[in-house]
Amino acid sequence: MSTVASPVLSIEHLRLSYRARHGTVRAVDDVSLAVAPGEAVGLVGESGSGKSSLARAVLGLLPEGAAQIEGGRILIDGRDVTGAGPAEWERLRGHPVAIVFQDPLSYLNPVMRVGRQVAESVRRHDPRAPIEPRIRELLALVKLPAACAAAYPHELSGGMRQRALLAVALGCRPRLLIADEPTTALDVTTQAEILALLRELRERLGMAMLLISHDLGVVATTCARIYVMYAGRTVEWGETRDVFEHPAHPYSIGLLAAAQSARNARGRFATIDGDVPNLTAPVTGCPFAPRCGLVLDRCRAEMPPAFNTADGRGHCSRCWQAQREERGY
Amino acid sequence: MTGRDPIAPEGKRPLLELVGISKSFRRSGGSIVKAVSDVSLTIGYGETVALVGESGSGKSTLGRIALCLITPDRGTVHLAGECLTSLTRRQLRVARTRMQPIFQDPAASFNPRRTVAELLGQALRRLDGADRERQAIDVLERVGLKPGRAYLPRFPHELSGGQRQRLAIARAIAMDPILIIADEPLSGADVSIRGQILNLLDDLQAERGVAYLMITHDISVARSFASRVAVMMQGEIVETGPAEAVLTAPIHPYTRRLIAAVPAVPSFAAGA
Amino acid sequence: MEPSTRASGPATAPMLKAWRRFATHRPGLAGGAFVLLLALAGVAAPLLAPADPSQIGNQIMLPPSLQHLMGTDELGRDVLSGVIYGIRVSLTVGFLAALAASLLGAIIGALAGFYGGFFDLLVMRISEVFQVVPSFILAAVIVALSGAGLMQIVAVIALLAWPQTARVMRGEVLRIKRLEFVDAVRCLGIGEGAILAGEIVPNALAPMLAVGTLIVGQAILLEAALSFFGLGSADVVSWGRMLNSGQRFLFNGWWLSFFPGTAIFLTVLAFNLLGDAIGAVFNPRSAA
Repeated sequence: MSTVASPVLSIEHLRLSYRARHGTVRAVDDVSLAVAPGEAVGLVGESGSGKSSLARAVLGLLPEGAAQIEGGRILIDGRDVTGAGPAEWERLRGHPVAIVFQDPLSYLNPVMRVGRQVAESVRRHDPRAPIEPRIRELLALVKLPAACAAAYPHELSGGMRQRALLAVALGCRPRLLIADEPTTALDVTTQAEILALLRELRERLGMAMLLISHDLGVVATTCARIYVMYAGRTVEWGETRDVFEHPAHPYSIGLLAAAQSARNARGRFATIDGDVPNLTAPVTGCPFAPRCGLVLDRCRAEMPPAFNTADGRGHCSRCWQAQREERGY
Repeated sequence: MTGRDPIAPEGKRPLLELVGISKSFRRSGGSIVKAVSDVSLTIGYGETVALVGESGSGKSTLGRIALCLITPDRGTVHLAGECLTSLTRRQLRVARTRMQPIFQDPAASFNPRRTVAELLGQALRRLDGADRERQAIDVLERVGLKPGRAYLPRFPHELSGGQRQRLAIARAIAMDPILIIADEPLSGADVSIRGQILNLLDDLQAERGVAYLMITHDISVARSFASRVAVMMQGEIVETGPAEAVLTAPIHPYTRRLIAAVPAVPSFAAGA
Repeated sequence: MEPSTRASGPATAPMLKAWRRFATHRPGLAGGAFVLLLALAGVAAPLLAPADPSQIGNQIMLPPSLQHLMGTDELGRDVLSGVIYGIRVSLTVGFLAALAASLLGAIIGALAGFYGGFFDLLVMRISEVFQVVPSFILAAVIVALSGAGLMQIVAVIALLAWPQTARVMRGEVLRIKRLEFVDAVRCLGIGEGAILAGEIVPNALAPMLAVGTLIVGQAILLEAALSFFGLGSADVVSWGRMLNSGQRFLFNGWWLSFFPGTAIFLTVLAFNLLGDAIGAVFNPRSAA
């Protein structure tokens, strides 16, 4: 179900690394993904998966100097922005791509009233728009009472702050909203409200969304397509239902089983042995090999390319086993 | 069953009894917030009870009151029949060691200036020298940190999050407790590793008969890990009962709302 | 499961990491190097100084020359020797005063922060009094009344400076006592006193080091000021006393004031840079 229309975001074979004190960290290695207009795409991964670095790279929000894009391209609305300078990033942020993060308190100005921050955002995109009605409209859109415009961020509850951050993000009429763990810090009931709000916003505004989360439940109920990341690589992707119902990559299978948080027939909890990968160490072959129950010799030597699974519909897995299955061994 | 739970769970002698606990705090603005309101809870020997609630429910405060880290305004705490809230400070120091905590943030759970050997040494100070080291290695390997000897000279910040959480469990069981109170022990751990911690806790319970009070906001974990659950809302327990029953078919409207809000992870037919 | 190093890189004790971070702070390194050299020079004064600083001679009021690099004063004493021997007084007073202030402040601050309550309130109010009163006036009054020995001066400075260290220690104790590891150790059955001394205070020492270093600079200045006004100890060679005698000859004997004055300036500057660097290294906001 990929793209008939040109994708609003397209990442092609991106490679990204950080220079840390104890070595180079390969945060993102050969990642390709696309978001079609109006589509909700999920990016799932745990610590060290590179998902947050990827999100920040799209808007040039990586720490300068320490991070380097080593290869690949980022295209926003068909335009190559990979080598963009700070000025160009400034122009792109907000429109067509906006971003919201996990902790609104860190990303809202604590000494500025909410209404003014929303106004700032609106004015960036459209300096001549009538401000007052637009602020009212945005607050109503995120279901915040109009009185919140006069409040400071710390005076609002966690859920309301996240809504305020959304209002600021929407001020620029984005075509794509990147949401990096938007509900992780919220209670489960508040989370449900915010997720419902995001769904509604997307439908009303025709806005695409890239939702990044470690919570599989959140991604499953919100996104039409998902990408699973491990150690800086996308290892499986496809339509949500396909990936959840017929996971092909051993990591996805393990992750989905663990996410059930349920005991199996022998009373044990599903888990993946070992620990999350160390990204400073150079990896030959598949980074999941040390923890994989189905590992072959080939896995340690060569990183598998993407194979189509039996589902079709763009459901792919980067696993040598998938190739086996497809050939019917 | 909704409301209070003063009666011992069926078939088990009461190990921890919280009776009529209330605690209020004064906020910086001067207003008073009631963190816990007249809560009673009982945990039996070898039992696993989950205390479930959202932020502001008072579950963490209740946990700290149970550990005698906070003195309640009203109510009493009993461990193995002994009333802890009426003990002197010196008596409490001895009595409380049978009850050990595991906290939410593995990073803040350890004195950053002490090595693993010193940290475990604090828990094993009833033993001396060589014995202490042997026991420390033993307990490290029991929680999966092998080889234990290699971990002794390390500092906590050198370990990964999962390793630190295991170290926290190691320190807790080094005291040979009859009850472990775990406050959000899985929050810091990645999804794929949580099962390792839960299985470890299971095994330790089977070996040592230790009881657990697990404080968590994660309903799925509570449902499958605990045998009984108590649901807290704004300082009160609104529903208790067998974990599976309460968290699948809740009676109280708040519990219902809570369950309904959890986004489901679709299950799959594990054929691969 | 092997002990992984992914958390923060290769195994290093907190002190070693702190040292590495300090070493990148160039002004601090410069300050530290200067202080070290000064201390060595002070210790080796008999070997370094060309003459006995109190040796009167008949080569009076000589400007700086090859025989007397910093000139001589109105009694024929070699200024360079005076400056070198003066190091001893300044550094001794500085360190002792800072040490005393730190010890006093650490104890008071730790108890106030840990136990809180009325004692804490009392301590805070008293320390505020000391911060408001002009320190030099108070020092001058006390020294004038009690006599002008070196130890008296050390005591006076410690008395004036303890609120600074007490506030820092109190702040750190307040921050640390809330951390979970303190509760964890409490549950192990360790007593409150042992917790304060063994768990909290050792983690609070780092900012104390920064403040203590700054106090050395303050102490040196205060001692020099007291000596300058004639309230210092009369039987030791001190930079302040040299300034005291030198002020009469400001126009025709500039070297009598210039060199001791520069010595005071550079020394205090060095300690301030050092203290700044130490403070930056242990700033809790940078990643530990």
